[in-house]
Amino acid sequence: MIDRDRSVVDKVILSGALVGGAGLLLPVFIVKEHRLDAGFPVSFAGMSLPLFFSALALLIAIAVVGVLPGLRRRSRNLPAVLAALGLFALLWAGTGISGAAELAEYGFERGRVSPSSGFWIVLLAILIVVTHSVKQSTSVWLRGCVPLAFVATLVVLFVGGVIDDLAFVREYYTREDRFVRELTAHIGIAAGAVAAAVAVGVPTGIVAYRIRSLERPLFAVVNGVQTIPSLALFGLMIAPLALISQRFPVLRELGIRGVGNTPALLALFLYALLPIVRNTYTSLAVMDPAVIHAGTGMGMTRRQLMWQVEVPISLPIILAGVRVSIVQTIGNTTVAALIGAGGLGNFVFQGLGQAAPDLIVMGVIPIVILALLADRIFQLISEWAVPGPKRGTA
Amino acid sequence: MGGTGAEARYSVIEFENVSKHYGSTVALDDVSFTVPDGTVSVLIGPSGCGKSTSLKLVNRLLEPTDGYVRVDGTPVREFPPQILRRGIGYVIQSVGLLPHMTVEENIGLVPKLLGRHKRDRSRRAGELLDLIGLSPDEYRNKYPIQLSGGEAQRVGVARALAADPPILLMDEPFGAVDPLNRETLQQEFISIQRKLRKTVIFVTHDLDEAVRVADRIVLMRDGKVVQTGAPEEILGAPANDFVREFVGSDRALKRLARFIVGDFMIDAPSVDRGARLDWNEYRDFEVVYVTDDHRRLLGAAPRNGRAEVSSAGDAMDDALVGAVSLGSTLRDALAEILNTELAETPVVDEHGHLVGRITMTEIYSATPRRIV
Repeated sequence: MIDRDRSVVDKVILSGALVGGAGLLLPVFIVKEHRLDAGFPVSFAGMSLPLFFSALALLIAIAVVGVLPGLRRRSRNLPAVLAALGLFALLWAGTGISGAAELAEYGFERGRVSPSSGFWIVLLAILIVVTHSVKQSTSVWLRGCVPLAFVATLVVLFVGGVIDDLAFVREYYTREDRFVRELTAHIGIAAGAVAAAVAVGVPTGIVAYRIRSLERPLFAVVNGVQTIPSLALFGLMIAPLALISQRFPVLRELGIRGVGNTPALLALFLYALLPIVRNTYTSLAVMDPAVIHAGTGMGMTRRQLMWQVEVPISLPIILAGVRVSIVQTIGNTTVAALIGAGGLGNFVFQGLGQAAPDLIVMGVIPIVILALLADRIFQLISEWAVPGPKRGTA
Repeated sequence: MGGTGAEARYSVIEFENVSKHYGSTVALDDVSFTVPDGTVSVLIGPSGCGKSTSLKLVNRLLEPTDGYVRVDGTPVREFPPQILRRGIGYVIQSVGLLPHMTVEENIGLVPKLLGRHKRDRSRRAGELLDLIGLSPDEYRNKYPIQLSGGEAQRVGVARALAADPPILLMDEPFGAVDPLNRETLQQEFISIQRKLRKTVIFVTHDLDEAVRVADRIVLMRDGKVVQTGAPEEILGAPANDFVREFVGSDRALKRLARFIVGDFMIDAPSVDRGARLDWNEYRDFEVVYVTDDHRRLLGAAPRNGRAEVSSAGDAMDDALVGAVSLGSTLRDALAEILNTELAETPVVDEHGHLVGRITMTEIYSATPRRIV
């Protein structure tokens, strides 16, 4: 029998390293004199040779971890992730520092540095290596902290001013106030929609389980919503809400209108429902009836059964649904900008309108970070809050 | 726990003309029987006979349509169900350990419902883990998913015993465990019951299990009681054709499992390994057992074809060392006799000391016969 755990080559890590190697040969960033300048490209080798060889060394290290024979799959994870983290820091700091040097050298006072194909491809390589390693790892520490370490690295570089000359950081500084406003709005809309979805979705899931005749119709509705493209759903909200708010001026005064946050919240709420309803239903459906039977037989009251048996057993599954919901909603909230709601989507669509990719990137990066943070934080909450043998100790 | 009050408790379970109907289906029809204090009554019968239904009437998981179920003379319907259930240990086939709690927390569940202090619950869990033969240090903090089927079932029994209830209800408790483990669990249950003397209703469809653990058997069919009595009575004198068929044609063999070797054995002739064996001294015996200085059984010396006088060590055939222990059943003894070339088997205590022997005569003596 082949020992699958001790496979000779980790193909994913190896291919990640190869992708990164290709990225090293492409231009890392483009130096522009102003926002609309075509600019000129700079590659890793053009930045500085020590930088190029450091990046190459890290990629080779990753490749070696991937092909080293006789290595257990698990023991590949940590070195691969650490090398990738090093490469990540090198990529951002190197781009920031040598970009600033280029700008100074040419005297581009209002100039900027746009990350280019090499930058994104190396980033993709890092993503391949890290997601693969994290997914394989059984250690809560590794799975919880690694994404946070990447975000923290970026934050440190940003706060330290190292990446100030990158084009999308420039875009950020020119609209700092608005950024904070839109970020707050984004979080507020997403959190509001998910909170409402939890408040409605959990009871709906319970009803779908308890009342068999309602199971099919409820899931038909909740599943049906998911099949409507998000843009269409946002559009569909406008007409009925506009009508309602015209009929009842009281509602209009409360801020309920055809465009703006109300239809966005409503549509996002409908999208967020499915994972929560489905997981609540599943958590009840998979519960071992013997557990309830034993609890009853030992003299638990209905209330004790609920709080000491049903809730703790179903909570992890429901939390997993909420987690999917949150990540999905943070992404969907971007589109909500199209119907006049706030959020980081405004920068994305503004950037699309002005053909300014830097602005788009500026809007997208915090969305990705938000989604990542929400996902990790929820993952950690559900692993620590839920009793049971911790992973890897079983 | 284990205070003087607990031992003084006295518990009899009585079924008086109990019926249970589901619409027009009759699950129990005028059932009456009594479970005396400190004894094990096994409810047995084909599936659908009402044995499990009867059990659930005791802790009010079901309510009778007619008649009374009494505990110490008080009808159970006079107790609030939760209070009643906390005073009755309950073990089910599927165990139902709570997956999000450790072994210790599972065992402490009923004491917790009764408001016992955490320190007491923890100490009690340790005692019970010892009782069921699982090391407290090793098992206390495990989760149910980390237990084997047999271990989980033991913890299920410990959980039922945690609040030291006078009554134990066991619904096919070892039904989901593999046959080898099942027998071990039955033996452990018997020895625990010998110590604790609970009033137990035990439901099973396995006659061997019933014969092994029961003080009394209540044999049921189609919601009615067909015959009650000690296992040896039911096996020795089946009341009708149904019982005869149910207990099977090997009922005489099953019955032997009710008798303990220690109660039937007779003295065994023995000689020290270093001594002289003179067959003239053992005219009435076909075999003499050879022991060491501490009376530990080494082997047997059969009479046939041997010199009149020889050294015991030389006369011994060490292939003939099979023996049964004091606590074995006559069924085991019979099996051992059939296994060896001798027409009898020696009996040893837990240290391997020769204490007696069982011959076919003893086995016949436990079997009712009109012509011997």
